[in-house]
Parts: sequence; C-alpha cells; structure tokens
Amino acid sequence: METTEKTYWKSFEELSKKASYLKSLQNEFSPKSAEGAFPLTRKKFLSLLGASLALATTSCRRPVQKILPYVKQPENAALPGMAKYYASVFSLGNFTQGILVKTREGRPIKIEGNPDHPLSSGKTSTFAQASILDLYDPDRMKAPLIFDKQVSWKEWLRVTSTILKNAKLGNQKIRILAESNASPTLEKVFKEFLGQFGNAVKYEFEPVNQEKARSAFYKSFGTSELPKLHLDKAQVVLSLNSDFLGNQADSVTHIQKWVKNRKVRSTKDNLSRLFVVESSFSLTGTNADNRLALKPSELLSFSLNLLKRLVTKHGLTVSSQTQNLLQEVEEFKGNEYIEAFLNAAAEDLASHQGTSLVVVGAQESEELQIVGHLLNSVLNNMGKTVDDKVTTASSKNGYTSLELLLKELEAGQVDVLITVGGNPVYHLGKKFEAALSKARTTLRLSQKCDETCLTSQYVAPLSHYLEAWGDSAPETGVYSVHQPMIRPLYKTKSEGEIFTHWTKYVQGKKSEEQDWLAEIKNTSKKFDWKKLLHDGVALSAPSPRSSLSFRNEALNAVQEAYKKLKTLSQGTFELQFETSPHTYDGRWANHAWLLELPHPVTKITWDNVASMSPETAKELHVKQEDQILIEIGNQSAVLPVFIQAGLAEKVITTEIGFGRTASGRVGNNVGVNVYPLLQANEFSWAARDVKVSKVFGHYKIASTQVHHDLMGRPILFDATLEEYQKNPAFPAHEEHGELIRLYPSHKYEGHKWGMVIDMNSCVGCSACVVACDAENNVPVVGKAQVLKGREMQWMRIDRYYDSRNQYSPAVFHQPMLCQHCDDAPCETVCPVSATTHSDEGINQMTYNRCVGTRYCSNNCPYKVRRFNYFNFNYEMSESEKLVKNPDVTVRARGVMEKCTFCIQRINAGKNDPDHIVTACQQACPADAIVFGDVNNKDSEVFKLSKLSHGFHVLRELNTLPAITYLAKVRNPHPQLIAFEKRGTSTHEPAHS
Amino acid sequence: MEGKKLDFFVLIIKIVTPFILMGAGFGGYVLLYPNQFTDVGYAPVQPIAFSHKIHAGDLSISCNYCHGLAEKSASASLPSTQTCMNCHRFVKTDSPEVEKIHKSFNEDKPIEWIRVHNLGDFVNFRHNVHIQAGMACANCHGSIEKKDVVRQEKPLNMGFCLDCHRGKTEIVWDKERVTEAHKHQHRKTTTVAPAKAGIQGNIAGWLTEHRTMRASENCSACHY
Repeated sequence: METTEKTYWKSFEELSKKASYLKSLQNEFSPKSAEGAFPLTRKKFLSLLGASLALATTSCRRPVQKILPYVKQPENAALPGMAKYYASVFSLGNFTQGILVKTREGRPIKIEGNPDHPLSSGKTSTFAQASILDLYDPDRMKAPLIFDKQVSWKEWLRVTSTILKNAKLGNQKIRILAESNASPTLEKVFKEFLGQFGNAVKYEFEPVNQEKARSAFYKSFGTSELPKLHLDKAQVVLSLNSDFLGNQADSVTHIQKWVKNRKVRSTKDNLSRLFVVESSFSLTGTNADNRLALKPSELLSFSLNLLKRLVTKHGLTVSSQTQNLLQEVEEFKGNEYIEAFLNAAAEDLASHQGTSLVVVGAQESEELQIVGHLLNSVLNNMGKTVDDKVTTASSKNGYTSLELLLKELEAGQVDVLITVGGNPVYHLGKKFEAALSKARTTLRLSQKCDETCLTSQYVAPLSHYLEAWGDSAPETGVYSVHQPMIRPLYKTKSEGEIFTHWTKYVQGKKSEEQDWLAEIKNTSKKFDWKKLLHDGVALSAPSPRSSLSFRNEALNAVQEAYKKLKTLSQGTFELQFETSPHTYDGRWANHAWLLELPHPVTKITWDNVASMSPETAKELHVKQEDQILIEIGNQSAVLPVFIQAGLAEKVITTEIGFGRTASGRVGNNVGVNVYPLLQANEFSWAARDVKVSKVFGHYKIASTQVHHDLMGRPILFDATLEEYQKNPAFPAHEEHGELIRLYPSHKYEGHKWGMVIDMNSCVGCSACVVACDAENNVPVVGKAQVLKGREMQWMRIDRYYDSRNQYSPAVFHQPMLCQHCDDAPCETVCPVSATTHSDEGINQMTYNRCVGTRYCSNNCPYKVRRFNYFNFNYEMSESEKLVKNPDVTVRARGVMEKCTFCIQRINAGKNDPDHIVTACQQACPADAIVFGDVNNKDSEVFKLSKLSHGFHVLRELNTLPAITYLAKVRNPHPQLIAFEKRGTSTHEPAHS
Repeated sequence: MEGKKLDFFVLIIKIVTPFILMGAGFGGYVLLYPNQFTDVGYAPVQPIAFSHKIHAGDLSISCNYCHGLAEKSASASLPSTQTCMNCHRFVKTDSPEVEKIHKSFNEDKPIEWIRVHNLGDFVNFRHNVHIQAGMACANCHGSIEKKDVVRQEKPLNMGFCLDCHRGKTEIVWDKERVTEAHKHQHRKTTTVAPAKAGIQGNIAGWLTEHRTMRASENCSACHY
C-alpha cells in the first residue's frame, strides 16, 4: 500500500537532510541562540542564584576607606570638622562689602557679612552670597592661552613681557581698557606700569557706571564725588527712578539705614515715608508708601514742577537763577493722581527740611540728577541726610570717556591693547569687536573665557578674589585687604601680580612672586598688618567732607534740557533699561543660583523680558508670552512680553545682562542680549521714539509666582499707620468657627525654636534665598523644571499685589518657608515617619528614610516642601562639589526636602543657644528675620512674637506654626489715601 | 488527569512552608551570628603596626594626646606624623615600623591609615558632643588600650546608639571630665532638669545615680 505522506518544507536544508542541519535540530535552544555570550542553562542559573545568596550573607562590607592625616600639621591648620573664618571683602566695581568667609577643610564654602565693616555691618547682598559659587565655576579658564593654545605661565609671561619691552623700545601706542575697581594698590600698579611707556593710556569702562552721577555732582557742587545717603536720618524720602534698595552695588547699606525708620514695635513708633516716582517697577518701588509711574521723559518735568510747588506753595527760598528757570516750567499735564502726588510730596518735603532726602538714580540724565541736588540744597538736606562720599575711584568709567579710545582703535592706531576684566566685546558690541581686531596685539586678563577672550590673542586667567591678595578703599577712611583662603584652583594669577611682573621686566629688573603682596603691604603700612587681616577693615579718619553749596551755573544745562524736551515728539514708546538682579550687567550669566533666583518683583527666572502695562499690551495687541520686536536706530531685539501692573502707558522696561554667547554651560543663550539697543542709545538708560511691533511666536516665561496660588485666603495683613494706631491688633480677625485641634499639645521643656518675620523690614531683596541655597546645598533645576513648578529653593519671597490704588498697586513681600507647625499636617501622613517633630519644636526631615510618596507635600498648606524629581546633584563637576556644605546632606532623587531652621547650626551651636543664627537671618540686611528660643523669655524672638500686630499665616487651619509674621504697616500720605479703595484686608495674589 | 479536586489547603501549605523555613533559617542565622551582619570584628591590617596596647595601655598616654580633635570636632581625627615624631625622633628608631614613620616625615608623604569605624553618609555622628558630655572613649570603641590591633568592638548601628540614648546601656564615664564639669554650672541645653543642688563635688553619688543617661531621641540629632 502506498502511503502518500505530504512533505512540507521550510528550507532547502530540510529537504537536503544534511547531517549538520539534523544536528542543529537537536539543540533547539542552542547556546548561541541565547542572548549574550555566556551559556546559562536553567540549572546553572539556579545554582548561581543560590550561591550568590549565600555569598551575600558572608561579608557585604563597605569599601575600604583611608584616612590621611597631616605629616607636619601647620599652626593654624584646617582640621576636619572645624570651620575657620577669614575676613575679606566682596567688590562690585567701585563698591565693597565686608565679608567673613567660612572655610572647611581648607576651602571656602559660605560667605557671611563682616559686622566690623561699616559698609555692610555684617550683612550681605545676593551677589555677595552668590560669589562663593563663582570660585568653583567649572567654566573658569584654567591656563593661559596664546592664540587659543594652552601654554605655561612662564611662557605666557615671557612672550607678553617681550612684546611690552619691544613696545617700549619702539614707543608704540599701548592702551589699557579695564573694569572698575576700588583697589588703591592696583591703581598704583597701573600707574607705575603706564609710567614705563611713552605712549600708554588707561581707560576704564563699566556699563553700570557712575559717570553721569559724578559729572552731575561736580556740576552741582564743584567736586567729582557720589552722594552718600544717610537714609536713617531722613523721615521723608523721594526717589526719582532710584532703586537704592534694589540690588545695586551699595544697597546693603541703604537697606540697613532705611529700615531703621520702618520698624513697628508699638503704637508710639513713627514711620518714615517713601515716595517713589519711577518708570519701571523696581524693588524700591515695591516698598513705596506712595508710588507714581511716569514715562522716563516725564521725570525732569515732574521734578521741576515739584520744585516749583515747594517755592510757590510752601515758600522755600531759592536763588534768582532758579526762579528764572522755574518761570519757564509749565504745569505738569497729568491726571488727578499726579496732581495730588505732587502736592503731597511737596507738603512732606517742605515740612521736613533737613530731615528729607531726594534720591535720583545714578543712571539718570545729568540734568535730572542736578535737579535732585538742587532740591536737596533747597530743602537744607546737604550735610544732614546726604553728603559726599569721598572716594578714590575713577570718575571716568562711562561711555563718553571711551570716545578717544574707540577712535584710535578704529583708525588702527593702537599697537597693544590690554583688556583687564569686564567684557567690552559683550558690552560694546560688534563695532567694538571689529575695532579691537584692528589693534596689532591684543592681551586679555579675565576669569572666564568670555566674548572678549575669543577675540584676543594672548589671554591669561585671573584668580577669583577668594584665591588672591588684593585691597579695597571704596571710601576714604575705610580700607580693607582681601586675602586668599585657598590656593588657586587652577593656574591663575591676579591682575596685580601680572602687572607688577610686566613693570619689573620692562624696567629690566627681576620680578619676585611676592611683589604684589609687597605692594599691598606698602599701601597698608600705617595699619597693623595682622589686625588688618583679622578685622577685615581698618578705619581711619575720612577726608573732610566739603561744605556742599549748590552752584547755580549747573542750572544752565537743566534749562537747555527742559527746553529741548518740549521740542521732542510726544506720545512715543519709551524704553527703560535696568540692571539685572540675576546677572547684574551680564557678569553672572553663568551663575545657576542667580539665574534661578526668582526676580524680586516679577518672580521670573532664567530670562529677561519686556515688561509693559496691560494697556500698553492692548495697544500692541499682545498678551503675556507673545513676542515683540524693539528697534532703536538700526539695532533691534526680540523680547517676550510680560504684563506688569504699575507701569505708565507706552513704557517698556527690560534688563541688560542676558543673551550671552560665551559665558559657560549654564548661561549661554539664556535670555536676550539688549546691549545692542543700549549701544544704539549711546548708553543712556532711557530711550524714546522706540519702535515696537508684535512678532510671531510664543515664548514661555518661567515665573515662580504662577504656582502657589493661595486663592484669596487671608495670608497677609496690612494697615496704614493711622489704622494701626487705632487698632494695634488689626490682624486678629474673627475666626470662622471654632479652631479645633486633633492632637494633644507638645510639651517643650527645653528649647523651643521659633522665628519672627517682620514684613515691615523685609524689602524683598532675596539675599536670604541665596544664603539658604548656599548653606543647605540646594540644587538648581533649570528652566524646564521651573515651568513645572519644581524649583528647589527652600525659601521663597511671595510677592502680592493689591490693586486698591488703580494708579499703582500696593506690593507686599512675604518670605515663606517651612513653618515648623506644631500640628504639622505633613508629619501625620508620612507612611514611613520620615518627617517627625523634635522635642524642640523643629519639623525634622530624615532624608534616608524618605521613600518619595510626596504625601507630605500634598498635605502642606503652605506648599513649602520640595521634591527631588531627578538627581539634580548627580551631574556635578568636580569643582562644584567643593562648594557643598559638609554639614548638610546632599540629597539624591526621590527625597523630599524643606527648610530645617538650619538644624545643622542649631546642633552645632547648642553650647551658646542665644547666639544661634539661621543662614537667612544672618544674610538679611534689614534684620527682618529673627530666630531663637521662644522659651527664653528674654529673647528677641519671644518679645517680637508677642507684638499685637503679629499673626500666623493661614491661622484658621490651626497648624500652630512656629513662625510669627509682623503685619505690614504702611505710611501713605493722607491726601493720597483717598485713592486707595479700602475694603477688607484680604489680598488676592496677582494673576500674572 | 480528570476530576482531581484541587486541595487548596495542601496547596497553601506547600507554598507557604518553604518561605517560613527560609525565613526561620535566615533569622536564626542572623541571631546566632550577628557579627556577620555588622562590622564588629573588622580589624584591618594597618600600614604601620601601631599598637594601642603599648602606647595607650602600658605607657598610659591619654587618648586626647593623639586624637585631640575629638572634644572639639565631629571627627576625632588621627595624629599627624609630627605627633608620632615627638617621641619617635629618639624612641626605638631601630624598629622597622618606626622607620616607616621617619620615611613619612622625611618624604612629606602622609601615612595611609585604614579607617576602622565608619558610619553611613546619612549619619552625622559628632564626637565633640559625646566627649563634652563626659563619655569615655571605651563606650563605643571598647578597651582599645588592651588591643594591639584596632578592632571594631561594637556594632555602631542605630540600635546601638538608641540603646544608650534611651537609657538602656550602662555608660563608662570619663571621671576627670565629669568632675570638672560639675564644678561649673550644668549646661542649660539639656531637656532634663539641671543637677540638684548639693550634687556638685559628690561625684561618686552622681555616678551611682547616672549609670545610664538619656539623650536626644530626635531624628535630627544625627540625620540632617
């Protein structure tokens, strides 16, 4: 019988029935078909599993760690676990703050204020706090470059010294373009260097300079100085576009002095009054009792009208020349608010002659500053609330002083150009870059390889101020030395070292390493060297203040300017430039802490924007996050739109210091570079006839104040001085029902840590936020994460607007941090008890126990808990690791963190509990934060927490926070209160 | 197979029993040989055969002579080569081990000691608080003066710390320091009521009363 077997086949091999094929069929799961190289059968796998389990139980030991002690321990050695403090100074251009630097194991990690230094009195600004990270910036230049090739210092100095020697022999043209500094020794070294050559000139340039201020002062009083403000002696302060409380270089002193007259401790206290007339919304503007928004072009007319009122309505005597000028001044055309404002300001100033102060922004036109000086003279304030700050610094660091240099450069007449610090290519633009390339030899000294470095031939890296010797004398009578606290991290030198070397070489002498230090010792020889280093400052009798009498000739310029104003076209868009609280003038573009610090007013991070009022936006048909093109001359910039309440119509404000292209990994292409606009405006900070048009595109702005919307719940209280005096306990309002407690009380038999935050003192400067970042190893998350609301700062300053006055909103700053509630909603919901309550009142956070449920953050009504969504601290460069505080855990992904009341400081300071200060308290220039043991009835924190105008935020939740806030008491002029529609004292956060 | 009913009871027994047995076995192993799971017994070979028995024991050199930072800082620190050379400039210079000290001193190369007692990075143990409170080194480090090679005697895990903080462990006091402390006012930083009047000077009495002592049980005392 024939069987018909069907033969299906899948391959020819099958048909062929080759021996090799048949063999391969046996091993269906051939080792080679398994993934990976090694053959692992099931049996082998199980045996390996068992073996590894057994092995794991025997010795899972931590890796071997070594301890390397000193060989020869030096006398003042850096010992493990012990902090050493050194005195130094932090300089920003010509301005200086005294600081104490905390070093651990030989490296600086935290900056505090030096209480002995009169210009900071123990406090710091955001920039001083942030400068510690600059030292460890991974994008610093690490070695000298010649034509972009790394060379040794010996080689670099040899080559450049030879160039200079030849320049001297050939009588070539040498030009130096340097940044401003306050160092008398450096100036001396520069002078000596210049003296070696037949044709060498030094120029100085800063985009934020004092040229106009000094020139106006000279014209007004005959001496080229800057006004020194004695804000503590002034009862009435009028600011004309002056952001004296904001993060300008000397705002620490100003905040301290101004706040002295703002403390509310009892109904007997008198408050000073601050009038602010400005064209942007500055930090000072947020602290004004009365504020007026004007266009930049209207300020001169306003101030002249004010003077007119002082003369006509309040009978102040002025010179005949002033009378003549005032006769030409027309009535200020404005609305009823401006009229009332003028009257109120005039009334207050007239009744406080000798105790009032008119401050004009240093970047304003000379004419406006002259009018300011005139007002102060007429009001008899000279020598009382304002006198001259006798300085040794240059008066010529502005744009006009560069004219000759630019001409020479463009004509190709400069043989050797040396740029020291600053960043002229970035500040001065393409025109300067082209001119610079015409110089035959370009030398550069700078800390980072910035835009100017890229176009220079011989580049040398400079040491950070914490690594080098230097000195500073910002005013006569105040002299400081800054000393190195760490050997230079990279192959860097300071400017002084390089210039002394060059000078000696050109003279034919041999230079020593200690030359620069010897120069400093020489400058300071009248002081005791050791004491100078220890104290951080040596005070001596300042130069005598001149009696400042106003020169009427100065009014000629004012007259001319006022006349010219009337001829200019009205009703155009005007642009006001501001310094950036993030990067200042661009120098901190690579600084992550500063870029992520929410702007004190707009709360924007990682960007600069074009701010405008809602009406202006409507006119331009733009909404928030649209984009506009701003054109001045033949320069333009595209900026995102930000709607800002309290700006005059057709006024746009923006900040310089962004849009850099060679700042480092963090700062490149962040924001928009508006320097071309400023250049087109010849470095005048207010521009008119600006062309503005809408352009297509949407730009996300990362502002931190669009999350945490507290939906109108009463979280802050304010009153006028009158209301407070009538009802000192005004924050106490009727509770909605009974306040219940679910838990038994905690008993605090030892210490109970608490805090008082005075909203009358807080100006919103945010120094506390940066100090907290530095102290507690707070990571930076970047713009994309901030857009999701994941910023990591433990402290934030909530800024609330209140539109009671339609012409200018009232603004309140409320620092918000973990309240360390007694009945903390977060503690009860943690499934693993990672957050618990200590027996001293602290809400503890145990990072190693946290599993990342985030239930605690969910339950926190203050939204102060921060979650590490990613390993923000993992991709740290080696140098960044050095800035971390070894006393605080560096958190990894998946862990919750929040303010700990600086528990590391509390633990370390238990031997002297009355003197424990938190990082934020230590930094705050206004002393707005007071921390201490509430169980100690003698402590300041206890006394302040009992004040009648103290309150707890979200009190009706009865979380029993450890932080008492002192409600804001404002002091608006009675005539202007009529413009404030007073209702309830609840506040809606701004819907930006 | 058909119709065989699944006996759940037996099934559960069959699944759960192995786990119970494994758990019991593992647990028993841990209880019987706890030192396999802690670092007790860790006694690495050091680069120089320094003997605490000779120096701290026979010669009675105080712990603070070399580990002086313990009363001031979180870390007890190790002595610099200079400290060793204070004596070993002259003492036993023929010994090969002392030769190593000289080598380190002359070549300016630090001695690379192997760390014996180490806690996790998430713990911030501070020596100074404990030393200032009067605790003797032996509480956590055992009788080091009796050992030639440093060996970790105590597990130093959180349970060990909490036992003492909760007042369950008997404390070995540094009598000199306790005497000195009681001449001055009791620190006002404790949460316990200050010493009764009359206790000053009566050290023996104080010691009898304070065989154990409670201390902070706050998480943030060590984890911050």
